[in-house]
Formats: sequence, C-alpha cells, structure tokens
Amino acid sequence: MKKNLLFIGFILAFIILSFGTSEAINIIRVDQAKIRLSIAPGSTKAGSITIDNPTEQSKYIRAYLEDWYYLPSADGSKDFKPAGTTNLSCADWINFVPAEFTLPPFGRQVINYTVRVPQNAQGGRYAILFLEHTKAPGDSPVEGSGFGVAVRVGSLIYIEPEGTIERKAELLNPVIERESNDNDLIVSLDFQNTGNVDLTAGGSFDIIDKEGMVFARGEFNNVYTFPGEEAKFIGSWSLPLERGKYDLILTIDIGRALAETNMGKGPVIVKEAELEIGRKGEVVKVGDLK
Amino acid sequence: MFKLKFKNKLKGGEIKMRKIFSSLVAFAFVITGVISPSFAAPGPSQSLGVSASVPAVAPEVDLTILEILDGDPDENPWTNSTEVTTSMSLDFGQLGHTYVDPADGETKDAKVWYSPILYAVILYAQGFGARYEIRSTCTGIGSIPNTNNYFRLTPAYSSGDEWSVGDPQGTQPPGSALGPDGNAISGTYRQIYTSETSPSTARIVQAYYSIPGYELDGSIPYTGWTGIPVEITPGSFVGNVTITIVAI
Repeated sequence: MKKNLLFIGFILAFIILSFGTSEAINIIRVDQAKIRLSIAPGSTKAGSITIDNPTEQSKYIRAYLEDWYYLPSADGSKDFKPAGTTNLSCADWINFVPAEFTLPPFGRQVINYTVRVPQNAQGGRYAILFLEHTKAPGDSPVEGSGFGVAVRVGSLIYIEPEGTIERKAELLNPVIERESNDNDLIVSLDFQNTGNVDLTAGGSFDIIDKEGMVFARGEFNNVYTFPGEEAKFIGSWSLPLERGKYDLILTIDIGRALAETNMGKGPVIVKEAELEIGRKGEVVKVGDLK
Repeated sequence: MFKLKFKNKLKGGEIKMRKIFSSLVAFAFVITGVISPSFAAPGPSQSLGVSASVPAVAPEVDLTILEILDGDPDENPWTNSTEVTTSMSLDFGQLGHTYVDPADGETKDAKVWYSPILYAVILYAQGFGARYEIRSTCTGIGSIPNTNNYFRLTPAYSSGDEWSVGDPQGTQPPGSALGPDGNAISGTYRQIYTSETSPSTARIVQAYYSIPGYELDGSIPYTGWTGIPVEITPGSFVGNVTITIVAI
C-alpha cells in the first residue's frame, strides 16, 4: 500500500513539475550565418550551404532570396524586402539549387550557389538566403479563420566587388556631458558611413592627462550601417574625475564586419579632443575633434 | 708492517666496496634503461601546435504552439493549454461577436468579430554565441483589409520557462529586448526578441497571437487596435505568419 502511494505520488510530482517544458518542433540547422565574399567584377564564385535536419520528422524546405537592410536604429536590426527591390541588392547576381526539397529525418541537404558580379559593379551589395520550413504542397490547408506558421532561418550574404570597396567613415559632433561627479559622464558621437560598403563599427574612449595617464575609459555600442547611413555612439563613465585639463581619445574600429567573417581587420579611426573638468567634476569645455 | 696490515684490511674492504659500487652502477644503468631507452643526453623540448575552430553557424529556433482557451488569466501559457501537434498553424476557428459579461452574466454584443482562442508560440532560440534577432511578419487574413488593426502579437519572457525539468532559464539577460505589444500585421517585420550582445545565450521566448475584442471595461486591447468590423463579408479567411531568426 505504501509502495503504491509512493509510486502514485512520484507520477503526480512528475506531472506537476513538468512546468514550462515541452517537446519542441525542432526546425533545421544551417551551417553559415553570414557569407561575405570578395569577387572581382566580371567574375563568378561558387559556394555551398549545408542544411541539417536533426529530428525524426521529415521537413519540407523552401529556399529563396530576399533583400535586407538595416533599420534606422543602426543596432543591427533588419527588415526584409522582396529580392531585387532595394538599391543595394545583389539577389539578381545569385543562382542556387535546389530551391525546394524535403529533408528526411536526420538528413542533410547541400545548396550550391554561384555569384556572378557584373563587370561594372562597385561597392557592397547584399541579399539573404532564407531556408523556410513550411507546409509541403498537398498538405491540408488551414481551415476556418487562421494562420499557417512558417519558420525560417536566414544566411546573410555580403558581396564586395574586389578592388572597388571604400571603407570610410566620419566621426562628428562629440558631446561630453556631466553635471557633477554624482552623475555619469556621457560621451556621445555621431558616426557617418561615408564609404560604399556596410560597416559594423565599435570602439572606446579614453580620458588621459598630459602625461598619458588614463583616468577614465569606456566602451561604445556597436553600430551597423549601410553606405550613407548615420548612427550614434554612446558611452559612459561613472567614477569621479578631478578638476583639470585632459585629452579625450576616441578609437573607433570600422572593420568589425570583416573580423566577423575572418576577412581582415580595420581600418581604425582615432580622434582626440581637449576636455576640461571643473571643480565638481562637471564638464567645463570640450575642444574640437582632431 | 702496520701499513701492510692496514692495506690488506683496506684491500679486503676495498674489494667489498668495489663490489657494492659495481652493483650500484649496474643498478643505475638498469633503472636508466627502464626509464629511458636511450642513453643519449636529453634534446631540446618539442611543442605540438593544437588548433580548433568554432564555425559561425546560423542561429536556430525551435517552436511549440500552445492553444489557450481560457484567456490566459494567470499569464502562464503552460496552464490550461493544449499543444498543437498536428500542424504548424494558428486556427482561431469561427469568430464570434458576443460575450458574457462576468459582471452581470448577461450576453452582450462585442461589436467586432473576435476569437476567444489565444495562441502562445514558444520559441527556443539558440544563437551559438552570436547576437541574434527573432522577427514576425504576417500577411493578414484573406480579404480583411490590413488597415483594420486586429491581429495582436504580444512578445513575453518568463524566467520560469525551462529547458528541461528543473532547469529554468532565469532572468532576461541585460541588453536583450522584447518587441512591443501590438499589431502583428505591419509594413516592417515585427520584433519578437533581440538577444544581448555577443556572446549571446539561448533563450525561451513567448509570442502570443490573438484576435481580440474590446476589454471588459470597454477599452481597446492595444494602441491602434480597431478590430474586425461585423459588417465584413462572411467566409473563411486564412493567412500566414512567418517567424524569422537571423544573426545581427
């Protein structure tokens, strides 16, 4: 009797404690989050993407290209548009096979693609290859009033026509604000992508004295821009600064997108400005950026 | 004489010492041979390079769809819900335009078409260390004009959601962000969740989809909501929700 009660109690506990867990519908695994290629104008390059199905269910997958661009927040958030509809699209340069396939349980599919860069291409171009798990043709449609749900994973594509890329940016309008040592010191800076390729940029600021001793240091947020777009860096320092004259050194790496895909580094922009701190730790004066 | 005697004694001892010494040397050779087969002096040390790389795979998202019929009063999708396993769809069934007011038990006109069914799409996201974002887009339902703001998306995060029994995910990481509550149909892809900066962590995120009516106090369920007017042409309406995950 006691054993039966214990067994029932165990079962009940298992049921009750199964809170917030469930068998999820595993989707698919794609081996590349970002594909960045440097291709000479007039040339073609080929590659492949591998998709794995780690589940016991077969998956019907549709592969297709769309355009993408960064949202004005410049924090990396994106929106997507039909292929070939945006100014910086390279969707028309890309061919791939297959476009639709069924991945068997625990199966693998390789998608082969080629990118042909036009002879007169200049500057970065972008697209995204979506792998969408959806209903197979012939599956019963949604009935009543409802929505089918599709889930898709994207591989971002960045094409750089070789020899045409200009990776440049301007740092403008530094603002350093602090009312007293009781508040954070805020450093903000405008960033303008003046090149012809996407830039992922980030960096730091240092406040040093004339002897080069560092009194404050902070990190900036990463910003993500397409050519011609603007963003803002913001950093902060919370500890006190004594009254005096300092140099503010701004170090911005505009080549983080290259580093992400192991295609190189930099360039790095370094600017400085004079900074005067008052008796209460307030910012008294900020010089021009040099 | 003394010297000779002494010498003889020494010689005997010396022989004995020599034997002991020889034994020790032989023993040392044996030990050395066991430890090091080579009797050559040790050479410069060798270093072996070791390398490995972690590939930058695309983020992935798994999902579970839960159908909730009681309006989710406890804001817990795991209670009083049924997992949708037969298809990847959100079937709101036949819409209604009346409701029972709990204040007086009377049936009243909601003045819009709505569904009492709520769906919680539970998203299990893994960025493999890279920062990622999850977005939703919707084509709208059939011929209902998208100028009618009626399909709601409410992202949510629960620290109690578990990867496995007894393994809650914990608080939402600093630097991550949920998208706003509002219209699921919009010109841009609606944000559900953006992870913290790299190295990001795997997270469980809830995305509630609903076709709501007015709140019981007569207020609208979210900013901009207009509902599905009761005057629309009858029929079945279907649409598509696409959930996208991509690296930042």
